[in-house]
Amino acid sequence: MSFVNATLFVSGNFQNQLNGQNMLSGADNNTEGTPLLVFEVDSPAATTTNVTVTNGIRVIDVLGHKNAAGGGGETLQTLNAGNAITGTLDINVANNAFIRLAADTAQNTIDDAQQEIAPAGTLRETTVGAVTSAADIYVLATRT
Amino acid sequence: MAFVQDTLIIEGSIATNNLDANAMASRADQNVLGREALVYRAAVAGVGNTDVTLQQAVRVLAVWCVKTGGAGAGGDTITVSNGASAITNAMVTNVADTTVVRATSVDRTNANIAAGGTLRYTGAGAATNAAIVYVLAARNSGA
Repeated sequence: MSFVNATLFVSGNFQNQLNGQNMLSGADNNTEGTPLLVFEVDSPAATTTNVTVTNGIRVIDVLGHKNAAGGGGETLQTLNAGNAITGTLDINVANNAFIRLAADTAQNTIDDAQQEIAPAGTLRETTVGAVTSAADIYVLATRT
Repeated sequence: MAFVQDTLIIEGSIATNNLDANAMASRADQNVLGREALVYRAAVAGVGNTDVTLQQAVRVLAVWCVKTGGAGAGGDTITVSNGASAITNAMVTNVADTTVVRATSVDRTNANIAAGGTLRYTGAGAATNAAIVYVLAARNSGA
């Protein structure tokens, strides 16, 4: 093989390719960290929204924003299929209000027995209440 | 095979299940591409230190923990530190099982952990103090 006035590029074209499939699974106390994943769920009012996750994930936090001013009895919950991961969040809040697991002890929970969702398992967001209970939800997770 | 005034491009793809902090770039403040977030996780059980020697320099951005193993007891706390220097306040883990507790302060001076430095999780209080601790971080721009 010979190169005369030539250029050899051995490089990957990685733009816009990176996703959860590339992430390393991180064990406890690992020294390199685990990349953070965000699952964005557009959760309509009074609806169960299911996301079948490709990889095994561990849900570590949930936050979001309200889409409209809430009404009485409106709640949001994140589940591993039929099993609750978080407490039931009160989302009777103003339009654009920040939603987070921080309100009080009853809501502010993550069940470590349910937080790991298996490959092809179901990440579920359930909104309950009035037609104004829609929200944009961001589930923070890592690969398991 | 000969190449004369030509260009050969061998394209690749990103390997699956391989990406960790080693692949992340260090970026300065106000960078226009964003900085990849990393999560460090430890299960703290009882009283004492859990030390993790980091391979890369990172900046700790936020910390929270989730209570495990039942309700806490009086005096139960968890603190995250850079070696012996506290990064967070002492998070009170005298709370019900599964409760999320967030650090309310991050010491900016101590939040930068050097490569080879120690990310320390310290449990205090009762022997039954237990929680999963999450440290949100990014590669340090000084690394």
